[in-house]
Amino acid sequence: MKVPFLKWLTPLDLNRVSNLQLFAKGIVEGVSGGIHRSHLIGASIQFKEHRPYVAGDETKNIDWKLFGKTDRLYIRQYEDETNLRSVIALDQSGSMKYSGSRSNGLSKHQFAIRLAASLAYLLINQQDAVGLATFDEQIRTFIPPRSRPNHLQVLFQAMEDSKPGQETDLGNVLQSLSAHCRRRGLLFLISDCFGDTESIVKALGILRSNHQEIVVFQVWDDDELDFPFQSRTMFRSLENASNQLLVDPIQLAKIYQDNLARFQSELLDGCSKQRIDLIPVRTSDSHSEILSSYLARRREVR
Amino acid sequence: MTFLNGLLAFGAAAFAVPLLIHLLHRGRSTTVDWGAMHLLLATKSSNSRRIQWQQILLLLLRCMIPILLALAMSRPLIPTWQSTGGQSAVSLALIVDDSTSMFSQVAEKQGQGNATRFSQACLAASKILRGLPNGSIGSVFLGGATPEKLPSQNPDELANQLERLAARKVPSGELNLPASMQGACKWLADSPHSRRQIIVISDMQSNEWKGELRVSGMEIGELLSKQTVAPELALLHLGADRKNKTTDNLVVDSIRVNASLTSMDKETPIATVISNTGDTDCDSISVVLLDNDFEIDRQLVSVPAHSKSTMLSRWTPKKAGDHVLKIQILRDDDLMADNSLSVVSHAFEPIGVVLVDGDRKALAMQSETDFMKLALSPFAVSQRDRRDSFATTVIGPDELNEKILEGCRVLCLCNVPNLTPPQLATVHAFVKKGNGLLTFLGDRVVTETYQAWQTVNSDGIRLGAIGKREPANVAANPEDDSKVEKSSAHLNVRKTSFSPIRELSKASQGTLEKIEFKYRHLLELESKCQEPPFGASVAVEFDDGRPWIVESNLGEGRCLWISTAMDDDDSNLPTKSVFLPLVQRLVAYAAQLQSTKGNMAVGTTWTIHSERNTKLTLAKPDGTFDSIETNDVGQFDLPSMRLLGNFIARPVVAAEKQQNEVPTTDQVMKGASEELRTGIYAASVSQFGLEPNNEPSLESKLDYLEQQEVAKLAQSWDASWAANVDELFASSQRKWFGREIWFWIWTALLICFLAEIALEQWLSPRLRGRRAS
Repeated sequence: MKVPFLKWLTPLDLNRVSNLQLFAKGIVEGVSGGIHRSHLIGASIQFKEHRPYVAGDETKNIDWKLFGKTDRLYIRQYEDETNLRSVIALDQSGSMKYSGSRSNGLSKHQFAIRLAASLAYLLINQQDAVGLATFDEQIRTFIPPRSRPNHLQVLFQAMEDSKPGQETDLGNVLQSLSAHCRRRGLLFLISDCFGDTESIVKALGILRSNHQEIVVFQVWDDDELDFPFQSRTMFRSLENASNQLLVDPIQLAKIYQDNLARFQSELLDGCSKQRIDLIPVRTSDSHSEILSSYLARRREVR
Repeated sequence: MTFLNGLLAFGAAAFAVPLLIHLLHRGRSTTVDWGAMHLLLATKSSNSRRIQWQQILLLLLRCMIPILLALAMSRPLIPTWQSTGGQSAVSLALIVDDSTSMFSQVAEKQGQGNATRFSQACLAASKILRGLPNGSIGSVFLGGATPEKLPSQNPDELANQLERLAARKVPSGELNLPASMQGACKWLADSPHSRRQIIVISDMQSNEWKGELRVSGMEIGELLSKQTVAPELALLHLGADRKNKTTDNLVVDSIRVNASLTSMDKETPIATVISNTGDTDCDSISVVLLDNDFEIDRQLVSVPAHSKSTMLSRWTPKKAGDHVLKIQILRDDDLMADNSLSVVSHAFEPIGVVLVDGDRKALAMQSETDFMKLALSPFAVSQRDRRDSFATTVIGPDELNEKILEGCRVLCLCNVPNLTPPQLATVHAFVKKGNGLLTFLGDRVVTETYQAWQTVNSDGIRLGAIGKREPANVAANPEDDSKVEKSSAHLNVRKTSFSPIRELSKASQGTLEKIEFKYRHLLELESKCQEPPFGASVAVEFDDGRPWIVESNLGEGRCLWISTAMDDDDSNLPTKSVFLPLVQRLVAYAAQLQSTKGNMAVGTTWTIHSERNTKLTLAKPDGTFDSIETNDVGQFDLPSMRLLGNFIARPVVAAEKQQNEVPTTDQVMKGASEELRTGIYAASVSQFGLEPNNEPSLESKLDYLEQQEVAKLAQSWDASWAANVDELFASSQRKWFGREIWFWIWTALLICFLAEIALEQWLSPRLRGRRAS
């Protein structure tokens, strides 16, 4: 049997991710009996399974009968308790192909897939519905959110099929994505966010107004942040091979850094105005650490 | 633009080094597939273009530095730019003609006394030199047969030297303009100035200036234009002021001492040819023959205009040694320098010759040595009261010993059957000291013992195998091994370079070829004997290639092996008239005596043979003296004797005897004591030495180029010409000279350096700052 997720998740990653809880920040559309707060209170329809109590679960959901029998705390879960519909938007544009010298051989895209896989696993594991959108200049695949455990296979397969290479138009993509995300939910955007910041921020604003909570993992390679080049270098665009530029990096570094700082601050400003989490990650970082630190931050906010 | 130091201009190619570094650096760029292009693209227009301009500027500066450096060092010159006028420093090569014709009198001019054209030329040259701008350098070439450069570059010093030279009365042959011009060009090629000039001061005598004046295949004009910086050529024509004047000149064409070997007390005929190259007939002109400045003959000679006359004199040397025989015409004519001519003749004391007769007979003319003795001492045999050149002693083989060889120069073994070992050793030692040995192989010779001589010791008397005596008419034909029937063998004297035979007259040589040889020994040279120190070689051959005379060396002595006997058994040679001069010359040759070796052509090298490490005083024809010293083998080479006249070398001891006074030539010759006499060496330098020449008096023909001809010649060489120094100065002032532009190049170089350093300094903190961050 093909187990594609093993390719993306190391046992260490799996171990760490499974111990984490993900909590939606705002009110999410779903059944109120779930672990997430929902405006559809008590809309539980079909019992699905028990799951062990974890600190933080509401005590009203504890199956006291079962506690009586087993002396352990279990939570009753229902079929449509899935109260979090999350979509992972995975950027497969050409610029994600970049692989720096310090990223352990991982390209930004590969790193993003791992991050996406970790998130998907984490969410599926806690009965949340997870969907996947891969895009470059337009949405290439869209898998609607489902919470069944075997949905993970579908997601992983789609991730594996994702091949980077096209140009990117993030603003446009985000706008068309809003058509898919009608209900409240959580959108993880894993991208380098290269493009026109104004249109990106604007598109994010539309999504935000569409009751989506948005988390942006902005994927950077170390090289892109430090610009460590010394000798004369021909920079060839990953998205459009005809676009190349021969420069002396030493002369250029300061201006590059200025550009970078401006780009980041514009993006950060835009995101914070929309109350969007913008998390810059480096391909040299460990995925699980990124996730755990992010979740820890989320808990504090909550 | 030309370069004074053209080769260094190629150093400009060094500009390729910074360029190459730049290109290599540029080509080494790495390619990176890059995502964040939008962050880079924003910078492109503003920054990278400016950076590139800085880099290109820096590169240009760095390329300019080697180019400018090479340019500056190669000293470029713009010939079309005017220099700072006539006052810029100049390199001037003066060629002063000191040929014979230059010594003609210009007495008719007032206030110049007995001035010659040469003294005029010297004064003109010194005037030119003194008029040179500051910082100039000069060189003076005396342009006679072998051009000589005066040893200085300082114009004032040269002017002083020339003023002293003006008094010189001794010419140096014919003007050698091509060689002088070449020397001048060579000197100018290394000169530090861009302004270069050659001035030729000459009387423009027709025979020197007409015809082909070529320097290694190039016309003189071509030679000048081929120079890196073509020097300006100016001709100073000293003969320009004479106008159709009739010339008056007598010249001693030649002196011939009609004897191969002059010896003491032996009368020698002397033939003198006197030419009149002038336009006036000369009647009853006194001509004097001087022997070492003693008058020994005086005759009145008449020579019509443009013709020749021969004067015959007789001279009997009273002393042994070098005699300078001088013919002097006692007449003041236009050219005094050719009114006398000298030859050197060495008078020998009678030369001791011992004839060993291997076949003595009582009857007259039957012995082996009778003909020899007659040929060597004809007066002694005929009992006349005259002295012979050779003092002959005839002995039998038994009488040959060391004592009898004392005072003798040549030993002749005539048909001697054998010698005892002690006799052989004596002969060996005798020859080795520098004496001569003649061996005549006759019918009594025991071939085996002669063969044995050759192995006496390592430097024995050897030449090769001596074969049996056989009739000369039986000769093996080398082609078909058959016997060729011939009545007799003849000599082949046409090809030989053997000097005793070559010096014979043509008639005598003809007689020699007709001599019939009936018997002869076969001589064969061994190859090991042909190499030094023996150096055996065939001197004279028969017409069938067999050797007649073989010559070899032993120590300092000379051995001649003659394959026939010198009586009338083997040939009819002794009965012919050529026998006497031939035998005398053979003996003189064996004794290595030559009366005429002191006569040289101008420009040759005189080798003085004397005692080892002897100090000699050399009196030169122009009245100056040199101290010379012979080397370890008793030789002194005096190269390039360029002055016509007599050179006399004598030991310093003689000079000390005269209380350190510098003696004149005649004092030397007269006052030399008997024991010093042999230590006096004389050489007479004439235009052509003793070689016969059809027109020896070319230099004495006083006709000169016309002014039009000079002008035409100057035009063809792109030269200016003038008849006096002032005119020359005026014309040279008008000339334009190239200007060196090194100052501007050095300035540009300095600016480039500073700019490069400034730009580098301005760029580097930015680079360093970036790296640190």
